[in-house]
Amino acid sequence: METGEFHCHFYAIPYVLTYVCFHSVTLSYNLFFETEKDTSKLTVDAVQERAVERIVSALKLPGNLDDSQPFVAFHLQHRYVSFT
Amino acid sequence: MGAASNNIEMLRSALRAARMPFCAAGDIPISQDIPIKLLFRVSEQGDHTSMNSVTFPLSKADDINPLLEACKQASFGRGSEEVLDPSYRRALVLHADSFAIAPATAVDPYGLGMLAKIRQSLLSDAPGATNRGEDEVEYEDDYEEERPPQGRRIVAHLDKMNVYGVGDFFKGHVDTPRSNQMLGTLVINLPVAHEGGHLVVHAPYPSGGASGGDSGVAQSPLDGGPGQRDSYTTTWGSEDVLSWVAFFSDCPHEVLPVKRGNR
Repeated sequence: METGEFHCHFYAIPYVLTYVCFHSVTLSYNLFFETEKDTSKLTVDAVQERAVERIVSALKLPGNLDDSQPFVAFHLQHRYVSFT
Repeated sequence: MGAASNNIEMLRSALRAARMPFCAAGDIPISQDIPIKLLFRVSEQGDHTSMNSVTFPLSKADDINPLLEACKQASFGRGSEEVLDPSYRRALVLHADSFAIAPATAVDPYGLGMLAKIRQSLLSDAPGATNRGEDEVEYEDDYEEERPPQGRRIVAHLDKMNVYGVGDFFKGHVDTPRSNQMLGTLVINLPVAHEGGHLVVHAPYPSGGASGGDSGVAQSPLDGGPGQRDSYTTTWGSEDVLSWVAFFSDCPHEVLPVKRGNR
């Protein structure tokens, strides 16, 4: 019986650090059947217009939007935001 | 003869209901080039409102901290009261009037086709609903959901955002109905890496079984029920997709604890 060498190789295993946030972030929506009161046609412009109104009222921003405020700059940068 | 016919019809109705799906779910790949920005109110003093934002997917784990600091402990309905009970629910919440999403199209149930899929999956047998295919509905440039010939459209109203950290959970419950027109709940999981925290949606109790009640949280809607119950468990935790699930209002559901794990 022939004898031989037993080679044992060690390899450097790349260890990649990936972060795990450990948070689950969810948005919840209530689903309704549409009623007559709901907007029948929600165009992008309508959504944008409504978003601006809601930004002002919900976040209690001054009515005359000023792009010196971070939020307004943010809004302008992303064109519109949506609360619904 | 009439009574027999009625009984047969009731039996048919029950069998139809038993076969109907109780939830719909899907994953939508997100574009890494168009991050989802969540803008939220941090503080308010007089006319001055301080805002902050978090971008998803996160660049690093700490990026979420400002959002956590802006959130409150989440309560839930028990009977006619809103209660804080960390033994039943441990989570953070931000209500819809305190945050916004940009661009709006990044997380939009209409534009991303979720509502069409929900109607197709959950309401296909409902009176007035149609079996329209998702590809029959145009969503490219506007938010109008084409009205089915005899059907009713579904609208989704953003209610709140919840954040579940390590060990956070929400035991089995049934949501409080907001109106007679409410048919269910849609939950969208933002692209944040995590393990655990899965949402388990259970089929509604059969007629005559234990019930979650008309309002508030059932004491133990998932305990002591009759036999096995169909359920759907999400597989959330990816940074690459927006995962969503929608279910009828009478479905008990629970959020399993977010776990620490290895990646």
